[in-house]
Amino acid sequence: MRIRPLQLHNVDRRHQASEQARLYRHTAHHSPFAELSYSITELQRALGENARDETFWAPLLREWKRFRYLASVLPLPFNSPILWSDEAKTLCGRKLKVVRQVASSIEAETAEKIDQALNELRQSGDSPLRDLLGNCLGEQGPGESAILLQDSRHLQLVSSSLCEVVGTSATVLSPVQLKASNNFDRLFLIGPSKWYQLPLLAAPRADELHVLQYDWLSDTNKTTPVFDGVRETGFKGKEFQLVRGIHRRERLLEDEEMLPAQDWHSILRAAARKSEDDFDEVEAKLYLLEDSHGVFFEEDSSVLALDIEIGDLERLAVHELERGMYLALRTEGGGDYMIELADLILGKVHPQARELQKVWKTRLREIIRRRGLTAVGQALTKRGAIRSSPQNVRNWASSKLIRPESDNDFKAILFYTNLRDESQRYLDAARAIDSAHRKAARRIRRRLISEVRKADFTQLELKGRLDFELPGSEGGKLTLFRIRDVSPEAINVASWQVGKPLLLEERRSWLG
Amino acid sequence: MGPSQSALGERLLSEDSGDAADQLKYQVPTGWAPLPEWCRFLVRLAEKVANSPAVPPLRVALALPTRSYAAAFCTVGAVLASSKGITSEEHLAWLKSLKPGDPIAVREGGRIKRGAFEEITEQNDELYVSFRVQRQGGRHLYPVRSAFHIQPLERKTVELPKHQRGTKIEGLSSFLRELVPGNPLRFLQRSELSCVVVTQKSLFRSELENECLAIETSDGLHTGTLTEVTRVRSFMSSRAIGFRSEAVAPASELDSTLTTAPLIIFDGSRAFLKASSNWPRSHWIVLLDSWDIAFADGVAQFQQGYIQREADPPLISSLNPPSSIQFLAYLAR
Repeated sequence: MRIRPLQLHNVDRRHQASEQARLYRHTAHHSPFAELSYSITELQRALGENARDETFWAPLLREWKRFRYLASVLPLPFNSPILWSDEAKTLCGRKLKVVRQVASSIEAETAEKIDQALNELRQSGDSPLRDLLGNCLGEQGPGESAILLQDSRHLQLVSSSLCEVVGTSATVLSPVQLKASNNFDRLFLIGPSKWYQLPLLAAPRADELHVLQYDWLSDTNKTTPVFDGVRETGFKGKEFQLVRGIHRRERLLEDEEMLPAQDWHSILRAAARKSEDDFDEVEAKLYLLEDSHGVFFEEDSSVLALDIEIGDLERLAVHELERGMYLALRTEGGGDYMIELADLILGKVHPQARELQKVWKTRLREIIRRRGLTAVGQALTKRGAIRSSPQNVRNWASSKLIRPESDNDFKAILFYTNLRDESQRYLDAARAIDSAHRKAARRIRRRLISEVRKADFTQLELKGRLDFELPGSEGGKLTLFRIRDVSPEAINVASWQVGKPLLLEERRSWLG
Repeated sequence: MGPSQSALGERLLSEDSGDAADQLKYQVPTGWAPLPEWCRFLVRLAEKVANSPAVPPLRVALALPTRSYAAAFCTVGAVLASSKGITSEEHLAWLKSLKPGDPIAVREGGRIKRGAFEEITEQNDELYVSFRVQRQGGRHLYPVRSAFHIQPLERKTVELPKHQRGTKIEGLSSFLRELVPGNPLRFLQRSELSCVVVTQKSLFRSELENECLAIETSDGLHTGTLTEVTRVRSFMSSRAIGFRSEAVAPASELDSTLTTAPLIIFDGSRAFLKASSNWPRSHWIVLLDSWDIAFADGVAQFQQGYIQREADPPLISSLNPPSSIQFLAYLAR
């Protein structure tokens, strides 16, 4: 099933909202939280480059900033465990001990003050944003209201908390859900509107947009034209109207100080595993996926992906992947899916063919270990190889590559590894494996396309992931994951990690 | 049938087409309502772009709160612009230009037959078109005044069969008669590629097929869908004739008939970013949905073209878009 088109009258509502929506701002103030927030920023500024020191400052700041950010975007009380976990408390306690010993007295004193203020807040049942939301919802007339949160992981918690305490029946949704929804009468945003990085002011999905935020946070106050520096583009701006609280113009904390950023260094270090086999290391980028997953891909490889805007599953070069696209990855069934299926296709000959493959690769690796890649490359050239650069020699030894593309290169390896007398057997085995892998790839793709065509893309858009059970001999689970981000740099990872979804620790995605 | 078969279509193409399009209605939960202003704007805009001189190419980008139905209504505008009826004099001139044996299409009832032109002849002070539709049997005579039943056949030669039942005319509805300017038969019979839509085809097709529209005349309400007027080649049955537009996926390989299309409608940022280089000499309408992930990239790429433009276009600023739509236009080098 493809994405269902909206009815024209619902589309018209989106246009009407874009033309006529009213923008309201409601601000809350909570002095202890405001002071804590300022203190964190002031300490970070004072520390300068030292703030990146992973031995103590960076982890401390990361946890404090996480608390500050979450408390600014979730309508939950300060003592909610999701804002400040026991794990965070233990980690900060440990790091503070180090701070007391090694940091300057002023910095250590500030850190102690922050820790103390944070502990006091943690005991507090105050919930300024929830109170503000409760008041707003209580004053609304009939019609459908929705509350937008930045992260879908918090939907259930916030929804039940609001239902219990505020007694609201408003829909709580994530940006992805909002994108796929029909328009609401009122939409409440928790936190500054620009933090959502959505066209909420220019193209709101509601007749009224209400921003609920702390008064010490900066935000955009009016809409801006889409096309820069061009007059007469049909642009008519809209401005926020302050309904509650004050419109502070000084001591505002800016986005770069408040918003989480991907700590790629930390994420990559945690995700990459050391390879036991030096020859199986490859250079790959990490793709962050929905639902706290990630996957490594080599840049010159290709992957089965779904572009939901285009509406089909296709094999794309990895460098063409973008945020918002969907990757098809095996998430259940164990082992390398392609190899399993290729072995099934090979039938009875698969143990022997695999064994022969293992023999020549093991011998080649052993020689490389003793002599080095360059020397082996030169030796292979003398024996008739035509492309034996050190990198190619490394690839040929890797278990990811079935065989060299050229028969000359392969024969040179068999000659060099003393397998020349049986070279035809080795060539035949490699050819059979190669052919089986190609057939397996085509079969997987056909099966997956057939399953995906039956799927409800609306669900995929809402959740960011969708699982498919593959029946029959190809059994197992494949999952379409939405790409959230891509690491700017590639790193060396074990080749077995490539293409396999990894569960990532959410805590790493913060810069201290 | 209303006062004039093609009145609404003609008016839809006039400067005041916005007023005429008021007669197009769509379904809301409480009944039928006039087509929203943004839909009428898109029809007008596409018509203007389609009618612009081919050189230099005109490029228009629209930033929309959603691109749903935008490509559909732009296609309607482009198709209607290229479907203006011809006058009786022009039609007679065409008939007179035919040589004996030239292929023609003849409407008889709800069917189309292929025929071979013979001559224009005069009997009792009236001009007749003479032609045959079968190998055996006599020739047919049609008075020239009703010769709109005879239209060009898109073939170089014609071989007449022994007997001919003709092909059923697909899609000649009262909705189409009201909407299309000029002769609806000509519209249905003649293929003409007014635009190519680069889009997610299944969704585009659903928009064309699923939304019911109507035109109200003194005869009552004539209902139909946009698919009847847009006549997208790949959505029609293989035997159908008279396509008016085509839809392709952004990654499609294009045949030569598509690369020379006069107007390309890019339905979304990714369609634009992926496929615009295929049509350097065509007019473009680029539909950028503010909620698309690649929206900013689409805007940036279009603005790059704007910076390198040949000139500003003279006609777009008078279109007065609704405030939900921002646009930028330029004439390309």
